[in-house]
Amino acid sequence: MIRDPLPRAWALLIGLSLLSAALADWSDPGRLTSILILGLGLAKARTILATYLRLAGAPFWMRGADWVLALVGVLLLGLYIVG
Amino acid sequence: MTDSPTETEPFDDLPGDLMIWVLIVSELLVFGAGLAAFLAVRATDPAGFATAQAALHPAAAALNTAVLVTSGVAAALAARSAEAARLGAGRLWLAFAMALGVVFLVVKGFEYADLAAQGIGVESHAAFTFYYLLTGFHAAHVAAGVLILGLVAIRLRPYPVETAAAFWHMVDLVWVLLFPVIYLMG
Amino acid sequence: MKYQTQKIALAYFAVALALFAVQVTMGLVLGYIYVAPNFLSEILPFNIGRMLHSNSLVVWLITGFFGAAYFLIPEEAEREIHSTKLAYIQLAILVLGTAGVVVTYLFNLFEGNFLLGKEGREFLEQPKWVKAGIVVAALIFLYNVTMTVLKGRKTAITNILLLGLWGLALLFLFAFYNPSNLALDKQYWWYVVHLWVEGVWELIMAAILAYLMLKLTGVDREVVEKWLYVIVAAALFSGILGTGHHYYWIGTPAYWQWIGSIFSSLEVIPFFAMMSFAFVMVWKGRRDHPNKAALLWSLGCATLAFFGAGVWGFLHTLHGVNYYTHGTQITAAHGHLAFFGAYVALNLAIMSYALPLLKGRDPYNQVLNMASFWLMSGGMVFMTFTLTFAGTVQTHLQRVLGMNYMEVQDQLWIFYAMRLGSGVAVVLGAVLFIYAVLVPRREIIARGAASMSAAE
Repeated sequence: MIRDPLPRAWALLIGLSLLSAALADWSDPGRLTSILILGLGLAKARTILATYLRLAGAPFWMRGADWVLALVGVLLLGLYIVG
Repeated sequence: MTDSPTETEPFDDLPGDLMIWVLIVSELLVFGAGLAAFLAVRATDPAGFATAQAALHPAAAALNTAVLVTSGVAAALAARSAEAARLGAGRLWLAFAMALGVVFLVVKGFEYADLAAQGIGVESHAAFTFYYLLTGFHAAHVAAGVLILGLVAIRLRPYPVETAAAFWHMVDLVWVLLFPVIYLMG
Repeated sequence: MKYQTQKIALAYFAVALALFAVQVTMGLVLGYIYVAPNFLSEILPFNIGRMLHSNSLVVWLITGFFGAAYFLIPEEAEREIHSTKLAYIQLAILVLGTAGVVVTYLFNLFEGNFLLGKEGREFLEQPKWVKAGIVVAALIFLYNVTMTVLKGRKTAITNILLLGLWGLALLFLFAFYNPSNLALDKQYWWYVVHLWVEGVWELIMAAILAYLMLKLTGVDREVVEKWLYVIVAAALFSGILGTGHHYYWIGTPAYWQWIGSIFSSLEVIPFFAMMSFAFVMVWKGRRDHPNKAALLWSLGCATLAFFGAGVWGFLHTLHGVNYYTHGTQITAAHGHLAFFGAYVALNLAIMSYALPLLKGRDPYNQVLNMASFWLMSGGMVFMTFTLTFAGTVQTHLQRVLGMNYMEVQDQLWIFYAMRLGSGVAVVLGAVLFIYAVLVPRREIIARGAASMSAAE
C-alpha cells in the first residue's frame, strides 16, 4: 500500500480511467454503463479536488466542492436521462 | 482593528490562493454549462449525436486522460518540492508535467487533424460545434497551463508553483468531466 | 478634503451634472415622441435625439469617472495630482469636443467630410477630430493620474481604477477602425461598447464602490480589497467572452451563440458580488457616517445594477430567447435600468459623497438628496417594468404571431404613455438631485442630521 496520498490518488485516477475505458469498450455503451461512466468521471473529479487540490485538509471547502459536484452530476444525469 | 476570527477563518482554510479558486469555480461553471447545453441539445437529436460521436477518437482521449492525470501528480509533486525548497526536484517535476501537457496537445492535434481530413468542421453538426468548442477551449487551457508551469519554473518559489499547479489541476478536473460526457456516454 | 488638487473634481462633476440634465431632458423629449410620434420630427429627427440621449449619457458618465478619479486618487495615493493645469486642459478638450459633437449632429454640418463630418456609425458617429480629441484628453488624463499613483502609495483601489481607465481609453481606439464589411464593423463596434460597460467600466465601478465602502462603513481595507479582487476577476472572466451575446445575429459563425450564452450568463456574478459586497460591508461596518445620502446611493447602485444589468440582462441573453426578443422593448428596459443602476447611481453616489467635502461643509441637503434617490430610482424601476411588459407584448405579437411592426407599435401606446410618466419622475428626481448637491442652503450639524434622517 502506498503511504503518500499523491501517488495513491494518481493510482486511483488511473484505475478509475481504466475501469471506465473497460466499461465503454465492453459493449455498445447502454444507458446503465453510460451512467456508471459519468459516475466514474465524478469520482475522478472528487479525487482531484481532494488530493491534487488538497481540499481533503479543509473539510468546510470539501463539503462545498461535494455539493458543487453533486449538482453538476444531477444536472448532467438528468439531462442525459431525459435525452 | 482586526477582523473577528470567525469571519476570516473559512478563507484561511482554503488551500492556495483565493483568486485561483475563483478561477476554478468560474471554469467549472463554464464547462458545466457547456456540457449541460451539449446534453440538452443532444436530447433533441440523439441519432445525429450518436453518429457524430462515432467519428470521435475515444481511445486517444482515454490515453490523454492518463497523460493528464499523470501530469497532474507531477505538478503536485513540484509544488511539494518547491515548498521544501528542493529547487532541482521542483524543476524536474515541472518539466515532466509540461512535457506531458505537450503530449496531450499532440494527441489532441492528431484527433483534430483526422476529423479535418474527414471534412468534419465546427459547422458540420451541432455535436461537432460543441466538440470543437469544449475540447478546443480546454486545449487552450492546456497550452496556457504549459506556459504558466514554464514561467514559474524560472524563479522557483513555493507560492507561484502552488498557484500554477492549482491551475493545472483545474485543467485536469475539467477534462475528467468532459471526457466521459463527450466521448463515452452513448 | 485633504489635498488641494481634489478640487479638480468639482469642475468635472459640474460638467457631468450639466450633461446629465441635457441627457434626461432629451430622454423626456424621446419619451414624448413615442407617445406622439410626429413631435419635432422635422427639427429633431428621432435618431438624432436618441443619439444625443445615449451619447450624452456616455460622455457624462465618463466625465464623472474622471472627476471621481481626480477626487479619490490623491487620497489613496497620499499626494497631490501630478498637474492641475493638465487636468483642466483635459476638461476643456472634452467640453469642446462635446459641444462640437452636439452642433455637428443637430445641424448635420460638413456632411461627408473626412475630418469634420459625422461618421454615420451608430454611437461612434463622432467626427474624426472629436475622436482624436477624446484620445488626446484620455492620454492627458492617464498620464496625469498614472504619474500621481506611481509617485505615491499604491492601493488595490487605485490599481483597479487605473486598470479600468486604461482599458476604457485603449478600447476606444477601436472606434477608429471601421471595416466596410458590416459584420466586421459590428464585431469591432462591440469591442468599444460592450467591453466598456460589461468589462472595464465594471472595474471602475468596483473600485469607486470599494472606495465609498471604505470611507462610509469603516471596514478594514484588507477585507475591501479581497472583495474587490474577486469582483474584478469575475467581471473580466465573464465579460470579455460575454461579448459573444452581441454576435448571435450579425453574420458571425454560429458557435458564438454558445460562447455568448454561457459566458454572458455568468455576467450576473460580478454584479451579485458587488451587491453582496455593499450590504455585507454596511452590516459589518462600525462607522456611523453622517453622509447617509451617499450610502443610500451606494447601496441603491449595487442593488439596481444587480437587477438592471444582472437579472434583466440574463432575461434575454440566452440565444434561444434572444432570437425572439432581440431589439424589442425588452432591450430598452434592460438598457435603462442597467445604465441607471450601475453607472448613473455610481456617479451620483460618489458626487453625494465628494461634493460636501469639496465645498468644505458637513453633508447638506441630505433629505432632498435621498428624496431624489427614491424619485429617480422609483421612476426608473417603473419605466423598466412598463418597457418589459411592452417588450413582452411586442415579442409575442411581432415575433411569434408575425404581426406588422407598426401595427404592434399601436398596441404598445399605453405602455409608452406610462413610460413617459415615469420619465417625468426621473427628470424631476434629477433636477432635485442637482439642486441638492450644488446649492447648499445652510450649515447642518452633521450628527443631528444623521440621527434625524436615518435612524437605521
